[in-house]
Amino acid sequence: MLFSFNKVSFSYGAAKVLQSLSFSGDRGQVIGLIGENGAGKSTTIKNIVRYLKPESGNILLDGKDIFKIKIENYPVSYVPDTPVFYEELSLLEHLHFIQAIYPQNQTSIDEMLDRKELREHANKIPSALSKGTRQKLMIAMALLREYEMLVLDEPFSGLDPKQIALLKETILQQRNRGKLVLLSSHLLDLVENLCDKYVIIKQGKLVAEGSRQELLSKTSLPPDSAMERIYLNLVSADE
Amino acid sequence: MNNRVRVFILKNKFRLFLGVIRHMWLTILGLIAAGGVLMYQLLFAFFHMKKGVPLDGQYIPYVFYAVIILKFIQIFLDDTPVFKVNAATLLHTYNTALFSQLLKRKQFKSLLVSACLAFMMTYILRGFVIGKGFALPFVFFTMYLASGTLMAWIYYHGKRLEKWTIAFLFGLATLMFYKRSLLGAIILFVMLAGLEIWAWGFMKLNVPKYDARLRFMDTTAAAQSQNDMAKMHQLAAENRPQHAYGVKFHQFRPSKRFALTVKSLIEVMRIQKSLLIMIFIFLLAGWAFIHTNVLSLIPFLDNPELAKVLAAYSATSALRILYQITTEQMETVLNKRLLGLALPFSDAQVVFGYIPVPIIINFVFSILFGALFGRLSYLSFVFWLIINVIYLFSSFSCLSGKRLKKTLNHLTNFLLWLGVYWYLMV
Repeated sequence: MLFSFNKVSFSYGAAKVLQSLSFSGDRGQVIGLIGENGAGKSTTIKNIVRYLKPESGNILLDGKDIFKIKIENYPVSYVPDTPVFYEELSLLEHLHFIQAIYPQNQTSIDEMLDRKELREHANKIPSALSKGTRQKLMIAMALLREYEMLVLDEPFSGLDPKQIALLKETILQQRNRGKLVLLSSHLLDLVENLCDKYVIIKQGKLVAEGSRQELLSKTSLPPDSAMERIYLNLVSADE
Repeated sequence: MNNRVRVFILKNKFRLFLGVIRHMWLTILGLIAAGGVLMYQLLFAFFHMKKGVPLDGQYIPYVFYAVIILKFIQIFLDDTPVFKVNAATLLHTYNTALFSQLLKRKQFKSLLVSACLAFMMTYILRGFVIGKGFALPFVFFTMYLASGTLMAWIYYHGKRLEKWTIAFLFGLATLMFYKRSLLGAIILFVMLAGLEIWAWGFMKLNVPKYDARLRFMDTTAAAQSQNDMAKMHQLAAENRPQHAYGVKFHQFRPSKRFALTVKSLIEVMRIQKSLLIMIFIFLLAGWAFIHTNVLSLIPFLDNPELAKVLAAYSATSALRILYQITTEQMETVLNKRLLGLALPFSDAQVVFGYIPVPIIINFVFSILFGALFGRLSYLSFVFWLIINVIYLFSSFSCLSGKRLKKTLNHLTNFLLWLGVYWYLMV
């Protein structure tokens, strides 16, 4: 198993946000972290990218505690829910910046510009880009470095159907390259058929974990039920 | 450290800086000049300082109080982190060794700044000479400033226990700084070393808080650099402390006839404190130009007539801020019609609806202004009439086209200045 999140608890002051939450993932998998607003998705992700440290429990990557992995070798690439840029650097300069941080990286910027259809915007600054293009740039920056696990926080919000399709394609490409992709979302219709495994959380606790089929088997719903119905069924059963 | 990474970070910073200079050079120049004049006045006119003569002993504690207060604000009240990077730098370098290198560089720079400030303060206190008795205050200032910066950094990221520890350390450091004994110097040095180890060895950053603040600061800096006033207003509105207003529109039970007047009254009652402070500062500056010798030491400005011109300009600026509050709101209402809102008022009715409240404000202003400048007489009434006429002119000019409005705006400013100047002259 490449990644495991073991009995992690975390609280902001008196508010318990994660309560002994556990799930795991392996190479070549897309995991959907599903839950309503405030369920603890972003806190889970912030623990994985080491912005926060669990109060109890641990997070293992390739069998090692993530806080004991040498900082230079932390193989997690992260795309936050709100894009963040250097306001006065062009799109191309942003890509060169990432290459300067990770000089050992093999992917060429030219290739990335073409792959992500960004070439025509190469010399524009972020404020001159559309929301979709900004998101594409964030993804391109995340993919430009070497990593084992790609973490995407609410990657579909605000994207139009074409951009959603392109992003889904990118996610599947990463899976086929043997990478582990973890994405959080509350838009169930968008992650349906994209994830190999779903981790449903509510109020920081695990409600259910497994493939669509495995989740369906925990309910009495018909086999062709949409993910949304499965989710609602599991969450209401937990209440 | 990777130099190419630094080049990109500096490139972004430089371009932002150029943008700010391009759009705000006049304001920056004004601030530098005002700061220079203030320092000059404070040192040479108020403290009567000369080369070789140290600052009078009775004033020295005040300098120390000022430094302590500034550090107290920086540590406990300021919600801006002392070591800042771009939010993008945080995102992309946080899980690399570059990030801690960047922060340590920031701290080294801040240490140099502390030393420079300490040098300047000691240099001034010692009467612009470096000699015997220079070293001790210099060392105290440097260590106190530097340890204060580190305390601010730890306090910003800390939890309850860390915050209480910092509060205790600040109290101790302040005591040592105020007493200035050899033992105090040793304790301050040990404390500074301990804070260094704490900050860079054990401390856990509160990354989500830091990230949110950096994002806000980046967006503000970009809006400033691009002179994007709409964005700046939006940021100010979004980050204003959220509270329910005590006075609400419906409490006045307004009829259609007075709806706009009530609206303007509420808007004036909800005026931002910062605008009130600006009005106060402008009036105070005007008063200082005439009633103190603040201009006497500046070549070419030592002239009572010129002082009146400048005082009139200051008072006009205060009045313009007052007008801006009401006319901006009026224009917003007028513009909403263009956006499709069906207003049950004609343009002229909107303008007239916004006139009664400023007339009252003008009255209060005339009385206050007269009292402040010793001009309280029947002329205050004449002055009130004059500024009312100018306000009416200014309000109706809002109905004109964009280009004409700009010209009329300049004309209003000139007329206002003329009115105030006349009031000061008669």
